[in-house]
Amino acid sequence: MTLANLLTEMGYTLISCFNGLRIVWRNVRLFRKRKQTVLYPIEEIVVPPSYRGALVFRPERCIVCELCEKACPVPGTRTEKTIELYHHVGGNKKRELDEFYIDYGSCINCYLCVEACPVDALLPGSNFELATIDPFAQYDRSRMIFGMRQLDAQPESADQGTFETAHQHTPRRRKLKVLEPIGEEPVPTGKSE
Amino acid sequence: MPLHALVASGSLWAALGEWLGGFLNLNSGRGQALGLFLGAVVALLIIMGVVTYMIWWLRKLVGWMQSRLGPMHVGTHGLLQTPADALKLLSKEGIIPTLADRAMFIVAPAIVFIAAYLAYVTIPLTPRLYIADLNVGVVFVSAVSSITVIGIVLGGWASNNKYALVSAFRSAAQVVSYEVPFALAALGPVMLAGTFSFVELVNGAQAQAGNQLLGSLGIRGAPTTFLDWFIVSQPICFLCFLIAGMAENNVTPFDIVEAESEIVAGFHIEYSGMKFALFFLAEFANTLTISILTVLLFLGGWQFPVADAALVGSMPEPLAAAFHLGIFVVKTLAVITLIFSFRAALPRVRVDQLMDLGWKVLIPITLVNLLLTGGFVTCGVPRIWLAAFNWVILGGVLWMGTRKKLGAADVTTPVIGPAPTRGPAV
Repeated sequence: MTLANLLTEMGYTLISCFNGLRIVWRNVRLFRKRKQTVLYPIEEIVVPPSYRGALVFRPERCIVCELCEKACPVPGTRTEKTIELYHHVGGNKKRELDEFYIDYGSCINCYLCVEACPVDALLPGSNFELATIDPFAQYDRSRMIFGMRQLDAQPESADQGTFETAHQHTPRRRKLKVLEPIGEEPVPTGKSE
Repeated sequence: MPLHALVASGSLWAALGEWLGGFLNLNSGRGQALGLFLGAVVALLIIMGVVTYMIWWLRKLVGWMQSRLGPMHVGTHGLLQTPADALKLLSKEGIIPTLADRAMFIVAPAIVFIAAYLAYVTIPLTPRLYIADLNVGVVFVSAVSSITVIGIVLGGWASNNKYALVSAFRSAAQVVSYEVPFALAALGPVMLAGTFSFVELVNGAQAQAGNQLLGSLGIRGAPTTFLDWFIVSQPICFLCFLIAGMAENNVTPFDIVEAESEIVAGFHIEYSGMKFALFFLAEFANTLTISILTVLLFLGGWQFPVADAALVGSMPEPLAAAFHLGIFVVKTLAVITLIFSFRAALPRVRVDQLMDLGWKVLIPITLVNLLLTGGFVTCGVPRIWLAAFNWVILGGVLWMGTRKKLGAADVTTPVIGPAPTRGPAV
């Protein structure tokens, strides 16, 4: 390595160090507010619209086809399956729903039931605070089994969480620079020059 | 030779001890010894307090730099977090491995901490606030700080753990390597000031009726104290000193001894509780030491940048001392912040890169600098030509750095995939 190369390397190292310092100092809160941390129990967390929280169940829409029960891949902790439906056959030989259970002790939030449901009775929800404190300190797993009324009261997600909407709603401080796709025709602007 | 004759010439602590000794019917020498002892105890307490909040500042600063908040919950903005951590460490069980060399295992952290603490004997905070103004102060600090390596190797060996041993040997190689450029770089200001004593070194920058730099051009009485700080005449030396100091005390990016993400915890892997706390304390005390040394040697110590002598001359003495102390604290905090921001900015170097930097870059540079500075001082060339020479070389190197042709390996453009299709183009 010649002396000139060595000096170049040294100068480049110093400049790089300075650039590194410039980049980290740019983030310091005194100059710019770029905080990403949410002090969760104190502040409120805004979940993204595609968040997979507790399910929402609308009993009035349910036609008791039991597809969700068949789609569910996990057995429950207390119940036989994670989703259980109970019904009776009413007048006009129509099935009528009695009770609908989801066992959150075993539910893995795979949302296969949501996809299976033909009438949108099962909807994605945004509630993630499923851990409970028992006022009598009796740790009872049956408290993890949610019934129909509880599930109806869960907050609904903002939307189904497609790719498009996820990018629309996720808060971003700075837009990513997306490179133009190579080898495609430029999008016509409609103006002729 | 009695103790007070050796060290206690103008020390504020000795004066305090003499005054206190008057109430206890002590003679002058014993009173001064009492004062120095008090000073040492206060220095210990101050180090502990400062180190506690240095850790807090490190966590806060690096947190901000990474878009986090740092400690927030214990006390306002986490101010009580590090005292709580220290209390937790003190109350933990101190485990000694069965196969460890018990006596050495216990002694090692004490050696490391004492080596870190001893440097504060001769460090002045204001022109009179020091325990002992040794006439070999710079050499003393350099010598004492290399005792650390004995404690580290001892701890690594006594742990009877191969990882601790490997790390201890890494540390020995590193500290011994960087001791040389550290001392050589410290010699630059020492040669210009013509003294090893810190107090004379800081005062000497403006001793002969001020303004050595402009004075060499025939300009007298200009209120530019900062031009006489040694960073102006020795900028390259300043950079070398900072790098060597950081490397000698295992500060990131030179912390391969205890690289958290590579080896488990370094030489103190088997240590817990109070002994671990001593290692930790010593590490941050060393960081504080190099910050203080940088301020003393290169940044003019307690001097205000503009018209220091005139400003302080108009104040009563206690106010002047407080003023000087405040300036010193601000400067030290600035250097500490700089060192901490390197921690967030730079990746860790490899072992071979570390050795290359020490032996092939820093030692040649500091040696040449030593020869040149010595030549300039001996030939009586005005200070301003030395400063100009240094800045021209530094500027030239930086200019060459900007002209570096980047190879393929150096290009770090992030690769982002093609845009997702968003429906038919209109």
